Order: sequence, then C-alpha cells, then structure tokens
Amino acid sequence: MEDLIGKWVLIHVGFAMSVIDEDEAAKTLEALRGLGEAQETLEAMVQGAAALEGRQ
Amino acid sequence: MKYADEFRDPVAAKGLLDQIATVVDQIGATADNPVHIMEICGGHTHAIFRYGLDKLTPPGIEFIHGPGCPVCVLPISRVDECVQLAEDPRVIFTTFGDAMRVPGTRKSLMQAKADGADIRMVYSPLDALELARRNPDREVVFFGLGFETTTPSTALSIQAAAREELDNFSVFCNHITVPPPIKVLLDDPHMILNGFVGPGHVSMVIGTHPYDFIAQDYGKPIVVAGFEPLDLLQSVLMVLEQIRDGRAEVENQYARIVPEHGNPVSLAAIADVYETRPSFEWRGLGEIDASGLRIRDRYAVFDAEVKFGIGYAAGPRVVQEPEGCECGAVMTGRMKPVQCPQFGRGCTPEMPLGALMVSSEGACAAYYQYGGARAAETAP
Repeated sequence: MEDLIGKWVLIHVGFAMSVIDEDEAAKTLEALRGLGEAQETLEAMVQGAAALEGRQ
Repeated sequence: MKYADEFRDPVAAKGLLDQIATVVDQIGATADNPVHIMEICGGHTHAIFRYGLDKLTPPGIEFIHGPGCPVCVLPISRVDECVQLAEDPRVIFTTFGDAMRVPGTRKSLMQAKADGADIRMVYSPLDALELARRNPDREVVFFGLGFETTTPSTALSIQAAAREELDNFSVFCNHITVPPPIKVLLDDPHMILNGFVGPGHVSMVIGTHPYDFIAQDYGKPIVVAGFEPLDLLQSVLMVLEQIRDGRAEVENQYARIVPEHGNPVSLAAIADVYETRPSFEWRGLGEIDASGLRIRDRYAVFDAEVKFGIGYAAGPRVVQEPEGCECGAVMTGRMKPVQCPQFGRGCTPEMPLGALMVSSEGACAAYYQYGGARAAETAP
C-alpha cells in the first residue's frame, strides 16, 4: 500500500478501480500535443504564404 | 484536475478535428453517405453531446448511440420489482440515484419514496452495507445495476457481507455485460455499423480481449476510448484510419487506465460471486443469451431474488412498454431521439416516459439537454 502514496487512481462507487499509468498518459498527451503543434505549424505556413502573396 | 484538464486542450482538439476531416475525405464519406460509428457506452454518448463533438466533427460521421447505459436498458418489469421490494415494510431499499426516476408500470422509485417506502439513495454499495450493520432488524436490499464497471463493487460487498455474516443484506442483481448486446446488434441486418468506440471503464475491468470477436469475426474496427473530449476525438480518428486502411483491430486509446487484461482483482471477485444467466431481458433488445449475471448459489442468502421470491426466481413475465414510448427503436439505432413523437412533448427529463430520457447517459436526455436548438430544427 505504501507504494501507492502519491499515485493517482480512478475511483468508482467507492472503490479504487485502476492506478493511472503515468507513462501511458504522457505518451497520449505527447501524441496529442504533437498534433496541436503540427496544426500550428501548418497555420503559420499558410499565413506565411498568404503574406508572401500579398507582397507580390 | 490532473489527467483530465490536459485532455481538454483546444489546440490539440483543432489538430485532431482537421485530421478527422482529412480521413473522412479519404474514405469518401459524406452527409448522404456517412460512416456509422457506434459509441457503445452511455458515458461517451453524454460526453459527445456535452462537448458538442457531433457538431464539431464533419457531417460524414454519423454517431450511433449504443446500449451502454444501464438505466436505459433496464426492462420496466425490473423497475416494478424494485418498487415491490421497496414497498415491503421490512425493507430498506438502497439504490444509486439515477434509477430513482425511471418510470415503472405503477410508479417510479421516486414516487414510491414519496408514498412512504423506505428508499435511500447511496453512492456506493458500501453505504448499503453500513446501513445493514446499523439496522440489524431491517432487510437492506441494494439495487445492483450496471455493467462490468460496477459489478466488482457489488461482488466485493457481497463477499464482505459473507465474511461478517451480515445476512440482512442482499443484492437485487441486474448486472449485465457489454459484449452480448454488441453481437446482437452486429447480427441485425438493419444495423449499419462501420466501427465502434469501445467503453473505457468497462474495459478497465475486463480488458480489451473480450472485443476480439468484433474485429476477427465481424471485421469491424473498435477503439477503447477515454472520456475527455481529446480521448474521444483521437479514438474516432483511430477508428476512421482503420476504416480507410481496411483494417479491423482492437485498439486501446485509454491505456493510461485500461490494461490489456483488465483488473485481475475485480475479475476474481466477479467470478467468485456471480455466474452467467442463461438469458436476460434488455429494454428494446429483448432477451439476450448469456448477457446478465446472477448470484451464485453459495451466496444465495445475499440474493434478493431468492430471498424475496421475485424477478427471475418468480418465473418469466411479460410487461408492456408505455404506449407511444419508442425507447426500443432509439436504443437499436432505428430512430433518432428527435424522431420519437414523444420527444420533448410527452417525454422530458422532468417527466420522462422512457428510460432514455431519465439517465444523463441516455441518448434522449443528452439530445434534450445539449442539442435543444438543433432538435427543434430537425423535429418533424
């Protein structure tokens, strides 16, 4: 039990049902952030292209 | 809240939505020819509407709302039996709050309570155990309702009651299992299902292998999903990518909570206390083979069906659904909530006619609460 202090668990109707796997959570978040960053990069490229066209 | 807020990041959501739109285009799905994705779990139905994901995703995706809402699939006869139990003067009837307003043939549990029945809303079967300890001269019955997520909690409570010889405690067992109704829906020639978003918290208990038949026997993709908006969007994207690539696999988006083989402690408790019934009645789906659980004989003293001679212990019975209630058709995806003539008229969350309007996980309640404006647009 002592090992569990500081861990996050999912509780359902009064029972701890699962210890959150922090590595898996981090992996999922990383993948999601990657998507967000990719999106921002794409938008920056589109804006950049528009700005270039505007200059011509 | 840690492990919740991060999964609501709008920047990541935008990225996912763009990816989803791309894959929908690659598949060639359109509003007239959409991809049908069933979210099995009522918690997912609720989240989809709460966050407006059905409106954010492209029209080429049609969400079909699955049978994973325990209150919604509860046959009216079981509600009647709850009322019957609760009206027994020996009984303190304990239940989760979401079952209180489900209409029965005569009355709901809420009405029975108003009429004087001793009904207590609890947040855990452990509360019911405590009531049994404090009221040795009363019979405390817990309404055991729910899928595999909740089944371990009543199994562990029955084991505790057995250890303490707390024989004024019993469970009215209505536990059901997810895979059998999915098979029924897949066998229904009228259902068009291209893929599934699989239940997260059920899978936390049973793992991902019970869904293997969906991929292997029926050739459909399924992705076990978490409940935050990013979890759902990522899972929908994973389902779409499988469809685009012609793959049919069981994937796990919710690995931070769901281990591949589930929770061994929970599974052992379920196996010790419960066995599969030959069949169990589902609202809208009828009797489904091997889809419900009953309490094993060695725990019969804690089985309210045996103790009070009700339910399946009393033999088969047929009860009519309320007139005009189309919950069955909505449940099986044959009708959208707003197409039901009673939706928002004879059936509202305040005065529900059918169970789908009662539970926050019910498709009708979700449409009503979050989809009001669009419901009005599309209503006949």
